[in-house]
Amino acid sequence: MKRKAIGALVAAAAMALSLAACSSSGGNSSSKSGGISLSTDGAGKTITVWLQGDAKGWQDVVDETNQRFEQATGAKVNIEWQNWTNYTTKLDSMFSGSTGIPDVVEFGNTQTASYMAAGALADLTSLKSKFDNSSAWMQGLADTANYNGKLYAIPYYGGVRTVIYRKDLWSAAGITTPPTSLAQLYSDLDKLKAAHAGDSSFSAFYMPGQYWYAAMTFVHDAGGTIATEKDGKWTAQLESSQAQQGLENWKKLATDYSVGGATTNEANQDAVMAKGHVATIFGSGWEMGVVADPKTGDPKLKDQLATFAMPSQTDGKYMPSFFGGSDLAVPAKSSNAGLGAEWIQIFTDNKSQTQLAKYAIPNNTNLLSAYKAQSAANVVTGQAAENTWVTPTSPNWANVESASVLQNMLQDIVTGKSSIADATKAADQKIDSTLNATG
Amino acid sequence: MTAAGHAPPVAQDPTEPSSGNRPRRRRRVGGYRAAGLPYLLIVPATAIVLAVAGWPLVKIILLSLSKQESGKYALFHNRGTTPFTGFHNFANVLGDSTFWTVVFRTIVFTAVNVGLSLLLGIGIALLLNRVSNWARLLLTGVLLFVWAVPTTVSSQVFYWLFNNQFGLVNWLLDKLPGVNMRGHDWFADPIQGFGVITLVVVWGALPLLAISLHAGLTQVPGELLDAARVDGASSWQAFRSVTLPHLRPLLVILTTLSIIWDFGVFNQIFFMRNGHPEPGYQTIGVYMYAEGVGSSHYNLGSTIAVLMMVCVFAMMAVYIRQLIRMGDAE
Repeated sequence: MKRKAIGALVAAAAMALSLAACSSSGGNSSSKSGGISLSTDGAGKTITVWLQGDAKGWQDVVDETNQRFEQATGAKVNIEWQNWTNYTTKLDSMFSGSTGIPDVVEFGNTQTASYMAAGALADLTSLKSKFDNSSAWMQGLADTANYNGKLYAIPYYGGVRTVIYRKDLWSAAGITTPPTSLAQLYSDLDKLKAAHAGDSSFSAFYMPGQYWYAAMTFVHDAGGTIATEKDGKWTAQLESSQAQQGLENWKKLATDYSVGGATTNEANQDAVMAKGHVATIFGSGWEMGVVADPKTGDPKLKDQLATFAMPSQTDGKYMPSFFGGSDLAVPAKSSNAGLGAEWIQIFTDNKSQTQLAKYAIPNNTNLLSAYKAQSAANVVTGQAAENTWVTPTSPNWANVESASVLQNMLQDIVTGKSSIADATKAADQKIDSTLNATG
Repeated sequence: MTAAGHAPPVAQDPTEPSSGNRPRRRRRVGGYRAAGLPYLLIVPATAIVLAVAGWPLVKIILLSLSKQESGKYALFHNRGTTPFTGFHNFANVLGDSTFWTVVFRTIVFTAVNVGLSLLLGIGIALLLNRVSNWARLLLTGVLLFVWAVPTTVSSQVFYWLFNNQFGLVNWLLDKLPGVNMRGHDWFADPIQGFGVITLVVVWGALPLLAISLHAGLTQVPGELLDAARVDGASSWQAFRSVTLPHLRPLLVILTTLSIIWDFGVFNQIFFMRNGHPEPGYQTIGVYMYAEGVGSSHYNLGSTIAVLMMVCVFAMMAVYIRQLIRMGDAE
């Protein structure tokens, strides 16, 4: 009896093993060591493209690209919409597998480094000249598309954050012109605060406690930075007196003029603004559309929103902007790498980018004028895009982001859990050990 | 690990003799040839368990014993295999004081949640036993409804209830004279935040506990309670000396299950903290996710996962021994 039981168990175990083996042995990776070439030979094939949902804002560009691509190659396009939340986890599991590899993948420009370093992306260096405007790519994107002198990604679009404010509330408080210095911004906010003293949920400037893009903008304005590299070794710089000064400036905004956002991030600041108790936020240009959207916001605010660049602590200057954006890349394991590169080529060519410039900052400086011509708000963001800062270019930077090191530091500062000195010291230690981690 | 096990355990009555013996003997009549049949029948279930639980477990243990590379090269090119380093990862994790803080926090959290949910569960079960039929039906219906709400949804609802600006709780508390709760942020301080999280966890755990314990209570022989009352026992004495001993086997099972669930609570914390729980909110499951999956350090994450299993087994050893002893007594 006992022997039979063991026999049954062994049989079951063997079965389980063979099942597992089936699932992991399917498909051979078709990774190529050298570069790839563009391909238009796609009859009967379908390529898979991972795009972030942001592109639903310019669906017409996506649709037209797909049409032109299908005409040129005969291949079909399957767009799989993605979400930024926990995106790197999804990318990790996709790249470590051998099946279900898409042919085009969108990356946030702060995410590319670790994947380029890991050899996950196809080398596009020899194709660079085939991509329109490739000599005039926006610096904040081009820097994130190269690794060790090779090109692994194609800049897609960018965005900068500016101050978005309610014209009606600002003028009702007696403010007629946008501030040109940080000190003036504070005094304007004092006026707004005084005008709404009776409203305990009123934020003259809504600044969420985990909004690290905003806080780091203040750090860079004060002459600080997140980390510097020397001979391959990174040193975090948030403890520096300049960085601490910047955080001091930011903290004033987040604690004196902002209500209710101490333990949240900026993800729903547009919805909060639409509730009517917020006079000012710091956000990307497209967020005005979200605030005034009939579904997500309040359409009555449509004509009341305007922008200005965040004024610097130095009189008459503006803070450098974080240049956020996206790159497109072809996974090294893609089975239709040539077609994938061809799709990117069409999606980022002069025609598509001119269309895209209606919605976001295009991937090159040649089309910036087309972008600025769209609206007054675009003039502000277009100017802001000319003076930018980026996150450390270490392949390990993505781990600092996913571990929420900066968010936790900022929240500790805003809630008063730690002083700026203590919080930056703790964060610097984490950033040092993360950026310098070796295998 | 949590949701899969939510079937109500059948209330056992220790006073009744096990009913399985006689029919089993009769089935044996089928003869020698059919003896292998039961084994054959459990093969599919065993195979599935081995494939979906056993195989990942083996992989996790292998991962925990392999080197943690900082880059992702190995992850993408060698099917994630890195050289074996023995217990190096374990030494790293166990040598980190953060890990011990997290374990301590998790144990306190588990103890509070298990204690509260069992106490309230027994309370509601006793109530169910007393009230009229329609009230019992209504209450059971409500409990089932609570049970049907996924933790993701209930976490979101509670998060909004406790929202600092537009939340109902602050608004109601603010109405009390002398209380100023305008804009109070429940999540600025992890202890208060865990209070809210405990509320959701206990809220979600109550239906199962109350309904199973109520089922257990109906099995307590009425004549014993009557006899106790005739002998002059107070209701508390009757509860302690008659009802509780009858409920004990069920309580042991429910406590064990509650410990497993509450030790592994993830969703409620993860959603209440917007997908990025701060260090002060990290219980061991969340810590494992943040250090492992969130930071792409899958070897370290696996190490924490293995340690987490060890913790659960260690805590449950007592209960498992008791279960076995109860089985022997029958």
